[in-house]
Amino acid sequence: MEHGIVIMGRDGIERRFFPTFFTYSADYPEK
Amino acid sequence: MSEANRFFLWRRYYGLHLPLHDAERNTSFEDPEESPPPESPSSTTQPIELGPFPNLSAFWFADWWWNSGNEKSSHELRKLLTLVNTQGFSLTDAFSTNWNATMMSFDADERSSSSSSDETSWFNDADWILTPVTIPVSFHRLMKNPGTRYQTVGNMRHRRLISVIEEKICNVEPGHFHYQPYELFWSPPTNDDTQFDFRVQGELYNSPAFVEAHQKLQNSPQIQGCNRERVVVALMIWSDETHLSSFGSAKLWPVYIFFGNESKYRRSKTSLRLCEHIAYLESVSRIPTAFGVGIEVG
Repeated sequence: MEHGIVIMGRDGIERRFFPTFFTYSADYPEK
Repeated sequence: MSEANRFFLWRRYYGLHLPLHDAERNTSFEDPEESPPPESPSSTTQPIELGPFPNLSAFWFADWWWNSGNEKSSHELRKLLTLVNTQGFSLTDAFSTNWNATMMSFDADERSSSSSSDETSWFNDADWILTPVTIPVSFHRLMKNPGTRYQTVGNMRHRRLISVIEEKICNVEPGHFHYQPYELFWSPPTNDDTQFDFRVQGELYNSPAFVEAHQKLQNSPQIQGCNRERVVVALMIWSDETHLSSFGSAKLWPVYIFFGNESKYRRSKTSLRLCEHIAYLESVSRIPTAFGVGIEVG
């Protein structure tokens, strides 16, 4: 993932995308 | 920098030029662009189906049991007496019902129907992968076979994150996707020439974390021969157990993903379906293992 992934959007422009995790929320198993 | 709007809010971008698309121009609080709710199966009149109940009396009895609330009141007692007195109610039928099996069958029903019907055909898509989950289990040195053994405890159904992202970027309307973050400021008018800039945060794409990640990416060396715009895809993951029915104990534990490049006002609109499910976790407590017992989770 060092170089990202090139994807073409609906506007016809190719961009290089770098996925990043910003938030993660979860809870413990309920009783 | 953008012009301040009528609420004296203005944005600071970190590019050489303002973005091509203003992904917020298209956002309104009453977005008309709601997709229609999923079609519910057409209701057709069918002969009374009693499900797992062997007879009508058992069905009525169960109806009273489930729908009478948690605390039995005298009102509920009267309802029970009325039920027993109803024409067509047979105490013998209610007695002859195997209640344990009937109650259990609710869960079993959900499971069997969910594995056979075409409702789950999307699960068999090439997009979904079944990965066995293996955990190391340590055995004490005084045990017969000491050391670490690896035990497969279940399967995880999941999608490839990359394919979810690709699908998203290919299909999202550029006008609703923030390719660049920005800092949002509030500069209220003052009597003298002083200007106060208050930082405003309300979306992931105007958070310091996103701005920082974006700048780090822009400052990293370009990949040779590639002048494409570099964009941070902000993933937000969450998971929560969910009950599938009011009666049985059937549950699912999905893992969801949101894209922080999209406004929270759009993400929170269920009809826009911006939430992707990427995995389904199994509850360890319910998985029978090769040790003969289930591993209980606190």
